[in-house]
Amino acid sequence: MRAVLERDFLVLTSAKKYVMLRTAVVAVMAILAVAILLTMGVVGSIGRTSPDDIGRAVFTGFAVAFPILVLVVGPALGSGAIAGERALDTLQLVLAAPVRPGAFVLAKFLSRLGAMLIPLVGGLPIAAICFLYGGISVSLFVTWMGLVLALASIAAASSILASAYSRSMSGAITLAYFLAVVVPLLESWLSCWLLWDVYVGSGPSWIASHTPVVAFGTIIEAVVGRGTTRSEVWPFFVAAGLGSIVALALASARLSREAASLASAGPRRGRTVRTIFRNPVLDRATLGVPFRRAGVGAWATWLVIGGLTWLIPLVADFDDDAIIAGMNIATWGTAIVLLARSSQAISVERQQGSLALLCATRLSAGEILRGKLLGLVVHGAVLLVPAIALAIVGSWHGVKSACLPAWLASTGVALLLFSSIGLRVSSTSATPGRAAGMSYAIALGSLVAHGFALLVAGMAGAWKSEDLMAALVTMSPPVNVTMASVSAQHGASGGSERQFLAWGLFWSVAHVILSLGLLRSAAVKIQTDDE
Amino acid sequence: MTDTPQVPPQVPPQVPPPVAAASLPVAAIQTIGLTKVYRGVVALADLDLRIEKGDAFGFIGPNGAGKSTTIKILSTLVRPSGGRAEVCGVDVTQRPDAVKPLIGYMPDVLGIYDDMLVQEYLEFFAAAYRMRGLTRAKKIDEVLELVDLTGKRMEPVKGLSRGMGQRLGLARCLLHDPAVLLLDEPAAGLDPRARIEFKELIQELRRQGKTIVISSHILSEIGEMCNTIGIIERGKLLFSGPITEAKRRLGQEQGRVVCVRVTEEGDDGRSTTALLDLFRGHPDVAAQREGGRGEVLIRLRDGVVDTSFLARDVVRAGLHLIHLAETEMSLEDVFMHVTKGQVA
Repeated sequence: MRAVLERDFLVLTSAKKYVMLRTAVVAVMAILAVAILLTMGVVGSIGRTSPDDIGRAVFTGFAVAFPILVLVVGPALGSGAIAGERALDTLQLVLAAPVRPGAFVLAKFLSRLGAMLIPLVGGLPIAAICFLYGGISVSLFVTWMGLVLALASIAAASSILASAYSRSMSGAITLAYFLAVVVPLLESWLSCWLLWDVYVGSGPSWIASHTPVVAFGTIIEAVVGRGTTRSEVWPFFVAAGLGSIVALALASARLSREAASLASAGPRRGRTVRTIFRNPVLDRATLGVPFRRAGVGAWATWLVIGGLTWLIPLVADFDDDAIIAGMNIATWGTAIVLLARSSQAISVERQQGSLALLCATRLSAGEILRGKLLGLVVHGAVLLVPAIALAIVGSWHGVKSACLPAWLASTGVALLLFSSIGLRVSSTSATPGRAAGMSYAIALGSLVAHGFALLVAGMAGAWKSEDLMAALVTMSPPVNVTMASVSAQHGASGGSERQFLAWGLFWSVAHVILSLGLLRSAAVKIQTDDE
Repeated sequence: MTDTPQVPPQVPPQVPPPVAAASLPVAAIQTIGLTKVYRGVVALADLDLRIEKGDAFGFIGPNGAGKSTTIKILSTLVRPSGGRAEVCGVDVTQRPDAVKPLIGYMPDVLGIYDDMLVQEYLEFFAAAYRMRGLTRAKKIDEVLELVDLTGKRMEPVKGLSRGMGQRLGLARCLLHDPAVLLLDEPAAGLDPRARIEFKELIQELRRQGKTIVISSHILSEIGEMCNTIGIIERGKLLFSGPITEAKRRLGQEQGRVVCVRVTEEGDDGRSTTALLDLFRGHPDVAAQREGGRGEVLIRLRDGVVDTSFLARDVVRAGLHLIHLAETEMSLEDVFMHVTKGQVA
């Protein structure tokens, strides 16, 4: 175990990109602090507010930024832990050695947790500047640090679980981000939807505070003085700890089974899948959709996204907001899946050496890329089927929110952009892991960036957040996904959609142009791959 | 070791003399002044190469010498920084789409899709070469039979051994019936049986009239599979021509070498020492050294034709002569003589 821990920790922390990440985290912390203070200075609120308020404002910025960083970095670090070894065929060497699967998984977990916490610890001295202004108690600060640690723990453990159950790096990364990002958000959302309304006043209120989002919300509420119930974060500590242990135990059990089956594994004969498309790249890219040799993972992804799409509308008896929520879940889920798949599309070919073979055939780079992109379209279309069905069912119920054409158009643009980002990154990435990490960093980093902007302005009280949403969200390329919800929501509410539609149309066209540029650039990179 | 031979002078680059293109038939491969620079590093420098149709050409050189770069340029995967490269008279830079059907490229990695069956893998690449319908099915049957993988048709590519994987790679190369095969390290990692089978396959392809370019570090195999070689180092072609010519030239330069063995193994080397002492300072002997297993390698001076004095003197000295024969230059000798072990 010690050997695995030392090796992984050293490899992770000595990588060039890790040093860059560490520097970036500290830089982001510093920029955030300066931005908050400058913004408050610009709007003149510093002179009007007490130092305690300034300290609270700065701390609130960190309180939100740190968990986001953990959720962005955690899956990227953890997803390769076991899937990466499997891809390199080194996992069977480890399993054949006298290393217990449990110890191996624990070593992977601790190395990831350590690597994740180092940049955060590096940023803490900057975070501590809030003490210069006051307004934050030491106990609150320590509680918040505990929450960050708990979140890092659950992010690392869930990513390793995803890694243990995935056959490919792309699957591991997708599942890891799903577990680390989507599940907590959905958990929070579901808690609010299913429990708050149903059991308000009498239900088990601690269920809501299990979730990281609500737990951090509690902290922030306590900071800004709107709540004092810091003790409510304890259930999250317990949930995170138990969740980590369960995740590691499941990962360990998976490895134990894999070790036991190594001896009996042999080649299995199969049935060929009929060729459908003339472009062989497209034909191959559609393998894995239902009825085209879909594995368990593919069916599970489809069922999970479909299930989540229908869950809330079913519970809420197909009202407007519930249908919008369901359709947006499908958009987000599909976007995450396509981002992962597109980021692997070319980098995997490069890693296994088949890209050179493809380029040496009569296929042009454009045909290769078109095949990959259309394959993603097919996968995306399959994943969106439950949402389309939901919209149709909604229209039977007389729900205006169906707004299918607008939703399809904006979701299509969003998915095109996500796929283009993934393919472009993939066309120049040396390994699938790097491609996935970079794609998610661009997509989620963009969300984080606009989140910071909102936070800064919101704290300073300079603008209404709704105005910022209209102005800033659409500037963030991957947030075109959000445009899907904007369109759908305005189709439903019948509000002042003209302005939003104009914005949406403008940014959709811009995003399509950007996507085409990215695809063209990716084709050039493929053509000159060996250079 | 006595009178250790000095490092022999380098064989000068043997570049084919410039001949008017019209006076020669179209070569399978021809490069003229081919140059490739990767971010300031010269991978190929003015490479002039001509490989005739039907030749099996062994491309040898140290790591980083430029072999793979040359093959990738010929495969249209890498654009040269300067010069020209032609496959069957078609320029690879100006008409890559016309070159691709002419070549079958097999890189040093297998490049297989783990999630496909053997049949699907071949269908995939056949489709990539625009082969359709019955033609495709028939060709797949043919190549599977040629590489002896018919029985593995429905098995996952992932389950194939390294040797079978290489044969599958070769089958992929042959799908579109290319005139030229470019094989980069095709025998790397194969066990002895797989190597022999692979060698037989190459010989069969030669019989079918294909031009084959093989880059390899395993010189003995190049010697068995190829009739011509090119030795490259630091991006420069040091020698190109028939293997027999390379050996003959080296033999001329280094003089004839005779291997003499005077006793069985296990005599503590006393007989070997006695043999070395016997010919030390002999007027017809240029140098001599131990060759291992009781052997002594004796290099004769230029112009010495009669080697009978060696046997006569050994017997007169009372030594027990076991073996006496003139040694033939191996490809390793040629390679070591020509290259300096430098990389680009």
